[in-house]
Amino acid sequence: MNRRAGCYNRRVSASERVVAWAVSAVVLAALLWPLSWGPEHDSFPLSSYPMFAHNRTSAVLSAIYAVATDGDGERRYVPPDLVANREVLQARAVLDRAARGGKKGAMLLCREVAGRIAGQSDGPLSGAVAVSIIRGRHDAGVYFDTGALGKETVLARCAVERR
Amino acid sequence: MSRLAAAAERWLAPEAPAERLAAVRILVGGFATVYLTSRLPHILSYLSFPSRHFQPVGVIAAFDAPPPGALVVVVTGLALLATLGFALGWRFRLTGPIAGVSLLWILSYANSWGQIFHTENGLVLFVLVIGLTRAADATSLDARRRAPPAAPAPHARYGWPLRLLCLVVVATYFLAGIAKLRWGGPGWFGGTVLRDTIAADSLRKVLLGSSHSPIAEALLGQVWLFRALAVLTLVVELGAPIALLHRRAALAWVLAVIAFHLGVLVLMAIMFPFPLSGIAFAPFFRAERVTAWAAARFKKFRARRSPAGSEAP
Repeated sequence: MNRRAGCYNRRVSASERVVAWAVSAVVLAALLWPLSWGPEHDSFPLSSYPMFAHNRTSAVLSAIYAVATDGDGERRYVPPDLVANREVLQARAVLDRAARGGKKGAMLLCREVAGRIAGQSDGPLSGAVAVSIIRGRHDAGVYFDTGALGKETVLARCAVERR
Repeated sequence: MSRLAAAAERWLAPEAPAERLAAVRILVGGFATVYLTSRLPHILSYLSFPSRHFQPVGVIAAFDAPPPGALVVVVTGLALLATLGFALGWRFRLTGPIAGVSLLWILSYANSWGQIFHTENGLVLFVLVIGLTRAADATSLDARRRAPPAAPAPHARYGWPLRLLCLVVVATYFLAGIAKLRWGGPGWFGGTVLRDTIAADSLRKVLLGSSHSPIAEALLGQVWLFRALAVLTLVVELGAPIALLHRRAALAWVLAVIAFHLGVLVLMAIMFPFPLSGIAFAPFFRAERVTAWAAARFKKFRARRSPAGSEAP
């Protein structure tokens, strides 16, 4: 050990030392606290980072999503900003919560989305006449191979009423 | 104090120049200000969210219902001003803690609607920690105001926050690796869990009317690639503590982490701006060289633009 290292922290006052230890201990304890959480629990800014940690056994996806239909019956997926905001994961959270609210919850969101679409005078959804909130179960591998979707259940359907 | 405790303290609180901690403050504060400004539309979008979607997390859990819109706007404005003051080192004893608390509050609010954005965890923790330290003793408006303007000597008070920030970074990645082992199990090593996760995530984006990575779609058939990526992910995450051993080890690990985040961006269209900017890893290195380089460039630029400078002998 060199001389300088030997007297390393002598100039650190007792109060500074206490602050340094206290802040370090609290921050590290807080960071490690999520280790005691289960995979379903998460928070902010402390996290156990459970996303993508689940033992997914297949590429089958169960998802809730919104579909707009035009007069010819052509379907278009409703983008996140018309469901929640520009964040795709936020739209997912809003749709999932709506589905957990049963038919009433799904219909409530369906009407809100239809109202936002009705307010659009141009864009890909300007010709939409109806919105559906759908629960789908699809194999991602099959979809990206063939374009085929799996089973869909309509949770709510409502008209786009333009004024 | 026992020799072990003394050795632990020397490691946890090494001497460091004030300019190094100041440089990290400038980089993190500057990033926070720019990030918050760019996220204003996102944060304020929650003002029009129906209260039934409110699922408070963290410090916002104290609220039973969404906080009033006026409070959100005020705290957002406060966070913007405080992070700017934080970056400039202006009245840092005040702006430091205010930046940490207001940023924590406003980002917790934005994460309280059923979706937690893990891309923001590190930034908040960094601002909270730095805000409690003497990070404005050098290269700051506070330091310029003080007389005499001599730079403070290297000291442990500038070293322990940097070491703590390194521990925060390492712990974050290590925890993510532990989560994959705990909940993902051995399947994670096989690559199929990662491949199926990316495939399902891409399909979800299609169904939600968003864009997904065409590169991921093209690569889904290559299981060997996902096996390699899964192993590399776990090596990078669980190998994080290696960055604490030596600066060269830290450099190698940081390059691997940035490559990992680039992979996530390319395959999943998910961007982690704080680590990808490199600023999250500044505490591992001599960050004062970056600010010194920027200051020298700025001086040169000013000298070239100033007529007095050009006429000087």
